[in-house]
Amino acid sequence: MDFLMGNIWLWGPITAVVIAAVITVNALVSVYLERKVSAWMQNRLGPMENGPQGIFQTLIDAVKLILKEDIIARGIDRPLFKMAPYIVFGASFAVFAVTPLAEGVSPADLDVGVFYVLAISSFVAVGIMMAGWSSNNKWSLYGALRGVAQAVSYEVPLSLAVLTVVMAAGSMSLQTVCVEQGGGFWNWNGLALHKNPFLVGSFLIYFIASLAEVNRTPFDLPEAESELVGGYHTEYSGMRFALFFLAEYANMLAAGILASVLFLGGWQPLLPALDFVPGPLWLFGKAYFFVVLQIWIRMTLPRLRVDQLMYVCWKVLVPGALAMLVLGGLWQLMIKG
Amino acid sequence: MDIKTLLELMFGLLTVASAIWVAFTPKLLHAGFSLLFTFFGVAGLYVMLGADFLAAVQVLVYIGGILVLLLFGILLTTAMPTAELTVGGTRRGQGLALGMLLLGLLLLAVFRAGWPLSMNALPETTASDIGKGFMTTWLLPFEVASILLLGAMLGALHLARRAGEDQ
Repeated sequence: MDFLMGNIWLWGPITAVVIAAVITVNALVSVYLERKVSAWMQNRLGPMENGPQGIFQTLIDAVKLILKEDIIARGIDRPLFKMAPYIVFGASFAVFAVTPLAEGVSPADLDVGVFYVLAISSFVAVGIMMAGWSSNNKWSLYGALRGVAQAVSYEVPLSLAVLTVVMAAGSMSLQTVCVEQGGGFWNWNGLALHKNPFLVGSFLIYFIASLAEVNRTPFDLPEAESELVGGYHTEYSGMRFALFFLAEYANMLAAGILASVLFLGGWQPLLPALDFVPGPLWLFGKAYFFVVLQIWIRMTLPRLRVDQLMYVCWKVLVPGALAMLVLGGLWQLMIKG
Repeated sequence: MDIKTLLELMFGLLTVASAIWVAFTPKLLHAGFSLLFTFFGVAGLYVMLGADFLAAVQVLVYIGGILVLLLFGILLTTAMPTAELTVGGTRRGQGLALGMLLLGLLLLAVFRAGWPLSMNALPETTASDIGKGFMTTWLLPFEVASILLLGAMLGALHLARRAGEDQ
């Protein structure tokens, strides 16, 4: 293991390939989950034809997507149009580099872990803008402008909610945040009323803001099918569309992973006695709980209007997050000394 | 060549090449998007120099904040996105003189500044030291900067509100 870790020429590519595989498999699983869960909620069957319960449907769809023609319409801004999917995908990919998998095991345990994740996500906004503008299509442009405005606004309450956790843990490293929450589910930040009750409020704010960051209902205005055809990726097809698609589901999973690391203990087991189950299983189990929750919310809530979107952000979430930050800090000072 | 030097060279090249592209492309939006790579290259250089926190701040502030605002500004201004910039043009003399002046100033600053060398090893982590510095030695500049930002924010809100519009 030391030989591997010491040799970046070996370790780097291996990690990259593993993360790419995780992102691809995650998209297959999440799309299938999305179809099945929404079908069950609407009393339908969902995909049933290919394989038992239709489990091979998304695999077939992926093959179809690879075989599709890469259409580049006339009148678009070619270099930007071609570059945009890579930037969006690259940013979503890079976020996974700091995932803490088990005690002491993460691809890269950065000291500025959480901050790195927040910073890298800003590439997505620029990539979306690039895609929307270069497509030379009014729906794409509207989708991009909505998407970026939303991402930039919701970054504020999201970062403030994350900051509350950083303050409680005394570190921005995702490993340290996980270690801090050891010893059973009652010590998890999102549930531990006795540790710092204001973290529970931060948890709620974080989850709502992360829904907006990954463009999920009720905040799916950037790609509102009924208004904007497909939003910023209307003009894309084939592999380039697939990259946007992969990035989107990767972002959903990343939001889930970050939520579980910050508020539900990450790789920590539910009870100390369940220690024998490996950390990655706990982490991905919790992350997929959030993915299913995102799907559930999509099937339950209608889409917000643009003005309601901004109202929720600036007049509800930001003051709430600020209050949690101040009160959480006071609690940290007064009670914990 | 070891990987560190190679990466440093790559980030440096990326920064300079994209900065040249910003200056010479006739398309305004291409210049804007090219800035993405300049900022990213600078962040990469920070990482290579062991300043991980500063690199994350660079990406968050310059790419997530300034660049996005800049692009928004261009896109929301009529006729700006498709505007062709005149590159070269008639004012070559003035441009050259101004460029030389700036270069001279920068070189002067580079050579005048005493670069203190430390024999200590690079710190593993920088965030906690920066935080402590802000709260102790540099508390006043830190607070002044936050008041400046607050003022700018209030000013922007005041400008954004249309005249005659109540609360």
